[in-house]
Amino acid sequence: MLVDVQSLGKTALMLRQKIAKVSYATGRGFLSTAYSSIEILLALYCSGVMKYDVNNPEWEERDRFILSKGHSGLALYMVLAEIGLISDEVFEGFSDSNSMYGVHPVYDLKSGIEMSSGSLGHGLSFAIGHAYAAKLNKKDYHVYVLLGDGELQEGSNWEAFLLVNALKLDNLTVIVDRNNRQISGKVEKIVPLDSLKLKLESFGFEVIEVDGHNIACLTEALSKKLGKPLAIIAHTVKGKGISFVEDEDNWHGRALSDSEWERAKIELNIEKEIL
Amino acid sequence: MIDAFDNELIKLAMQDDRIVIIGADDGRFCSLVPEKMKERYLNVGIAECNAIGIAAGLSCCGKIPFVTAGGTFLVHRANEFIRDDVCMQNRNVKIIAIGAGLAMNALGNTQHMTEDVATLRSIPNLTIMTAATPKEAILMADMAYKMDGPVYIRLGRHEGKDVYQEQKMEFRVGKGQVICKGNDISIITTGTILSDILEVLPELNKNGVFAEVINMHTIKPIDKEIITQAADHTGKILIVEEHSVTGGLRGAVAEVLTEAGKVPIMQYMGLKDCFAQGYGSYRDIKRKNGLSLENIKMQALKLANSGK
Repeated sequence: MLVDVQSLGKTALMLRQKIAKVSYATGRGFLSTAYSSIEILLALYCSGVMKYDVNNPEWEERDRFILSKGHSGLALYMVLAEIGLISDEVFEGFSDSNSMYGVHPVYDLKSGIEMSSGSLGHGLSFAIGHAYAAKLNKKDYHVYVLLGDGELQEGSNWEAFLLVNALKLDNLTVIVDRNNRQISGKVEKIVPLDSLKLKLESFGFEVIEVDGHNIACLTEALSKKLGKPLAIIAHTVKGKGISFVEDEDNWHGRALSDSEWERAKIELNIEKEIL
Repeated sequence: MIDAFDNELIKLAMQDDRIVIIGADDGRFCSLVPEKMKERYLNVGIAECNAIGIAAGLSCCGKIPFVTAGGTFLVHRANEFIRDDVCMQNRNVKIIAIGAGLAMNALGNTQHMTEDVATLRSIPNLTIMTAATPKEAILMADMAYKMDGPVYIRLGRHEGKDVYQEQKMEFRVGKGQVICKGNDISIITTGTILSDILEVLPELNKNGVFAEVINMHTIKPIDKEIITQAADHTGKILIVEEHSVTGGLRGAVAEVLTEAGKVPIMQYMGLKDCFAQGYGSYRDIKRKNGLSLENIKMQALKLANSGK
């Protein structure tokens, strides 16, 4: 698949700029988490991996993207705005009293949001429902679900992993945003996943590990149809793009302060109003 | 009663390929499902959260999933999945809970469904029903299939006569039924304990007490009209439920009366802020938890004689 990596790289930077501005302006929006997932979402929606119709977001044949780690909501909104499913205007006053969108996504198919998320450990089961329905309805759409690595501490995911294998769901791709961060610190220091690859392989997945900020590698991995369930471990950096946020403690769910905003503007090359 | 429901569901599923039956190791449908619809029975294993989540996903794709398992596991373990994935998004998912009230008699109190209604009643969009008889369970299967939106059906253990078969009663979701007319007290109940109340009626009559008996098969939405009418008619209400008296049928009835400004004399029978005690037969465990025929009779007479 031909991906204009240079162009999408610029888009990623532009989305980081917008996210920083929205998050700073509202004091909300899980900035560091959104930064972790940006390239994954761009690879899915903007590099030809997923099929969808912006003029008919409820198209039955569409590929499904399910955001299980709902705290990456701002990144999802940005990418949905990028492809034209939601308006950029929503970011003015985002999550304020008149806003259509909150920090965690609420089901709204017309906007491309497949499920309400925010409580972790729900998306994979929901995705299995979509994938199994495709089999029953003899549809060939593909289902992608994005999980956080900390989210894998929720036991429901492992119920669901077992079943993915039992059902041999080859139309389901699980993506793990492996940033090794959760609220309290490093995932590996709290409840280690150790070799996640081996774990998922033992659950019957074909597992690919990629740099989760490399759009070309992500696109290649996400495009694979292997005739068996696929899991992509996307190694990411929480807060990627702002040096003093990257992989630092105490950034979960936090926005930029005034002084941090000034520093971020320089790092993200924000020279003028971008919204 | 469970067999009656299951057979009806299979019948419906054979007619409509949108129906998908999801069992969490239910142990019933694996041998019941015809070959023709094998792929529409999905046993997800002992995994209630997963069962509910998958059902929510299937419902987004035009399917009508019926999820079934031991009710206490579905409601308490998978509560958040019911809330977030089914009710919050108003999904067309039907949840069939097995073991209503004390139906699991000797299995111990982890198996009893005695707080599920209270737990679920506060969740928006969910219709909650308890079947009193096999025929009523069949009617609930039909209605749940026809309705669009989340439905929770409690199936318990039925022993005794099927008043539906005998009286050919009309079933409407959200509308209670006067099973028996009377002027002295109103007994409001839900589920299979209705049979016990009907069994006690002749004894009450012998004592000069004639009770109105209301079958409140739908606990949510509750039939406000039938409750306020009972308050006006007899002024004395006895709630009998195989459930905690906190937040279940008693709570629902009390809420209606408070809102309507009605103040009948009200008594209630059920688990009073405790878990079910003891083992034995179904009759035994009901007796041990204050729901014997004798106690129903005693409470009904006491209420009838109060205020005199």
